[in-house]
Amino acid sequence: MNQINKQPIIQEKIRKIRQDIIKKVKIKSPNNDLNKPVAFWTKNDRLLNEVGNELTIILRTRGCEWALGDNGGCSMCGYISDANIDDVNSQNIINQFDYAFQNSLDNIQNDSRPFIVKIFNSGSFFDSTEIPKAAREYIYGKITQTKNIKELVIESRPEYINHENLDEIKKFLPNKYIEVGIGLETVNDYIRINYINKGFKYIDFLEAFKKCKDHKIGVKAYLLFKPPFLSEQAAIDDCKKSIKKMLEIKINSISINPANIQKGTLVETLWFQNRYRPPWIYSIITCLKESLQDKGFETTRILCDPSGAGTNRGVHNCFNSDCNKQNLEIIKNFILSQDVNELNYSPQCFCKKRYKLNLLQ
Amino acid sequence: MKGFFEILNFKGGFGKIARINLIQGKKQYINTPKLIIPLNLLLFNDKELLDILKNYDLFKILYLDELKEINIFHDSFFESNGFFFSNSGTFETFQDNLEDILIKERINNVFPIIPFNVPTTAMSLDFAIAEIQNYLSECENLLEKYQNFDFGLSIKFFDNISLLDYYIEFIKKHKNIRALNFLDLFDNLKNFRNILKIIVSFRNNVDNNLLNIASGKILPKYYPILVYLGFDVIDATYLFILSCDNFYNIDEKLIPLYKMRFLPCSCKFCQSISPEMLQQKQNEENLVFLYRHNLLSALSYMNKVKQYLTTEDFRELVEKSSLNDSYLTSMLKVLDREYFDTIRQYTPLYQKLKKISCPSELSFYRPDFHEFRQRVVNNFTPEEFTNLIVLFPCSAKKPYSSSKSHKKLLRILRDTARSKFPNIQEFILTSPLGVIPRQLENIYPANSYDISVTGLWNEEEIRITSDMLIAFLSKYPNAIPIIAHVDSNYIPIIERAQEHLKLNIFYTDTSMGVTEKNSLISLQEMIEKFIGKFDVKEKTPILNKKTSSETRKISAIIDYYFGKDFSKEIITKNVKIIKHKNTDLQFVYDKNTNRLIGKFRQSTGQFLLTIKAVENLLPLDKIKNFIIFNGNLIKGTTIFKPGILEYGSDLQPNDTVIVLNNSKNKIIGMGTMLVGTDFIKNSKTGRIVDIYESNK
Repeated sequence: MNQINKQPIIQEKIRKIRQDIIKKVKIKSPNNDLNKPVAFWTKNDRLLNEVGNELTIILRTRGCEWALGDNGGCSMCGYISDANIDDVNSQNIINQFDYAFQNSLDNIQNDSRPFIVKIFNSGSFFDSTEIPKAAREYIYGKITQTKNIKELVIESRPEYINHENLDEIKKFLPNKYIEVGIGLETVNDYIRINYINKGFKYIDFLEAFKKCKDHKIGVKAYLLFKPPFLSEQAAIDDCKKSIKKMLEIKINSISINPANIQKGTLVETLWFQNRYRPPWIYSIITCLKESLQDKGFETTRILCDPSGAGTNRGVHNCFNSDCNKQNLEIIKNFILSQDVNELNYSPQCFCKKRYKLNLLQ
Repeated sequence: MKGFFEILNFKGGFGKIARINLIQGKKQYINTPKLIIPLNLLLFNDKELLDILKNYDLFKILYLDELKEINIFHDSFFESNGFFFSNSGTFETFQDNLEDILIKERINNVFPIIPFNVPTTAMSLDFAIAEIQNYLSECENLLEKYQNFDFGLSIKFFDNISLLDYYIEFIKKHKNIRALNFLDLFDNLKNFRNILKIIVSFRNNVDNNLLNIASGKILPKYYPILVYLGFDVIDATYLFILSCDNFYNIDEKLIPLYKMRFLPCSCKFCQSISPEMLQQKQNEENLVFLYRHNLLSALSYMNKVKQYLTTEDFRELVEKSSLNDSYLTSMLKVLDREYFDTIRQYTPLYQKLKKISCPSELSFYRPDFHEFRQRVVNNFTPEEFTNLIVLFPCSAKKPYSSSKSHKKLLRILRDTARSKFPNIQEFILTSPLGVIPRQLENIYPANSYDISVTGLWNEEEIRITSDMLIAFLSKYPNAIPIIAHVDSNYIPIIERAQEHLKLNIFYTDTSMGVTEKNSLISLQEMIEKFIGKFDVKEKTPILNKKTSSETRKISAIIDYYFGKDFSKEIITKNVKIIKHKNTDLQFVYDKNTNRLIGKFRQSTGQFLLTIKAVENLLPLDKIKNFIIFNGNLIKGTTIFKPGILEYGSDLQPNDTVIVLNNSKNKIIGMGTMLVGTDFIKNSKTGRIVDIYESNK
């Protein structure tokens, strides 16, 4: 990891908020059933070259090391609430995976369309304190045996992406497309370090990307749409810059994550104080449209599956649910088809004018 | 870009009339104060609105990409107007756009303002400091990269006054910063004390020729005081946000649209909207209506501000509008009381004759009034032949001596005292100006103030007037007889003075009213009783001792403008006044030397001394109002800042000044100050003196 000269000032505040929430989570944690995952689901999704299905499994681990440690974690991330805080052993992780996987296996095997499996642990998959090596190997083994699974997506911070881990995964899954999601959030170091408290630099991301590339493993860059302290237009500008950069380096996938208000985060605090509003859906559409107008993303898959969309805490336009639904539909159609023309469709809601006027400030 | 912004006149407070010149070498001026209208594609496409605004000359463009798409730079609308360019996004995007505008497109009627949008808010003081340092270092790179271009700098305080110094140091360092855009200074008026501290600090520490822009959450009711505080351009953006929140502007406040029953506006849009529309839930149609009306009404209100600023008493509007908001009221009060020493330096000493209304207590400490009180007291010297003092009430008509009541009173004094009339010193008691010696009734603001008179004095009025009375009377021997010919409601003022000084006061009987027959008789008896009784050096006034009313008046006026006892240097004997036929000027001659001493302009109360009158006054130490010119001969009628070597330490706009050559051994001109000492100190350019007489 490359040295960061100065720790961000928001870190102290984040740490405080985080410690409070960890205390609360810890009180609850004896009730966790460590043999069942936090959640799992299947739905349709964009695969590399076609529309298929996804199986997403959210595993409960001790939690993201970055959030548990002295650095306090990221300003927008509240996933520590799903963590166990205390260690979760290999067998528990295996049981969690099995629970979801066995329940979905029939679906996978009987569906004519291919599957993408996403295993998320709200932290780093390659971090052995979260997912021990034995559990990882077990999961790889199960997936490699299932023919209809074409792709596997896991997530990790760049510091855990090393040759050893990449060798291991590639060895188990030689014929599947593997993609490692990295929370780059933005190509702008200042924003990533000082407003998100992500703790790594763009160059760290690039190094991880290169390692993956060397192992023929794909990388999905997560971009946070509207980090705290950014105005709506700055969020569009920043994300456009990041998308452009990612297309330039020919990243495999870009996943745009509009910020949402998660419990126990700095972003939530700002939101409570009326100092932060989640992004408008219009902004996401504008950003996609303006970044992708020159095409040039044939080799990159664009993804965007906003959580909490249409609610007060998620990306939203006005209070009219039809407006939110219709605009989210545009994004969804674009993601599935990867056809920018989908973005030109513009449903009529008067909040569009409000939005445009709000962008003046 | 030389001469980007030029100040023409100060108008009270820090308020001023000025002009922006975006294109060097082209005489196309944008007059300020002015609202700047943001323009994005949505508004540019609102042809109905834009048609009304087609002759408006100051817009702010934000989104270059979308405006370039419609080829705005080649639109005739664009070519004939002035634009500021900024954005609401990231610094990086601004830089990219800047390169486009300045270098690629070479567009010259666009003035760039560096944005400061990120962060939107600050977590702590440390956070704010770090962010400002980061922002300023980015600005530094940009300002150095584009050294040949001028910029506006955006300034954000995040509610922390301690950030002030970072900006001030930075601005001092960079010559191509020509405008300051205050982004969040007025977002929280509760901090009115800090707001004032910041404004005054900028005034005292950075070049006063910078254009000041007020942005952020600005409501129309702030406009007058913002202009008074020295803002030249006010960003209208917030009106659009208010429109989104369903507010309708009626200037003094904003009312939710659904409450509106009677539209107090006859703009095109208000005329054509149906009453049903007003009651509807917020929709596209009423949103468009709102932003159109809100913008047009704000522009009208701004025109009102400009009208007051140009021909009326601007301070009156400031006071009235400040009453619309308790924080604005507090702000004005604190400004008057705590920053008088600064603000007086920018406030003209007099205005062209007009009625100066005093609508509320906010008028009491307006800087020109307070300046008058201080000067009158400090510069007035008792005449050596005064042996009787008479206190009179004021009259509604100004000058007092032209009123019916004062005509009667003066008649009694003259008829009773006859040749001893000059031995009487008259003082007029009034609110809110205080105490005015008869000699100075013709100068501003004594000649023009207007206040509702009910005879009910409040504590503050009593205090102001009696403090001044104490100051005047303490210049006289304790035992000098004082006749108070006033209504009973003036008595607390005099009694308070008596508590401080042991006065020899005699009240006439005014129970029937000061101008009733019996009262006048009572006055007459008192005068007969006391005139000539009190022992002063000059018991009998001798006519050649400068005792004519005209001489007494001119002497006091000269002292008022040029300093205590200055008239003694100018007038050797009595004066002779000749009225000029076609103007409001009175030519004043010294009877002894027959020399023209100066001209008294009745419409302003200004006294224009002649070079002849002062040429024997050198060396400099007797002269307070001076300018040392960098040369021996003044060409033209204006002296600019670079032509000034030294200057008096207490000059105000409209002060008359004596201009000396660079060796300080010759008076080469006489002029009227356009600015004050602080402005000269804090500026690198600008018009300083308007010359009315110079040695050819």
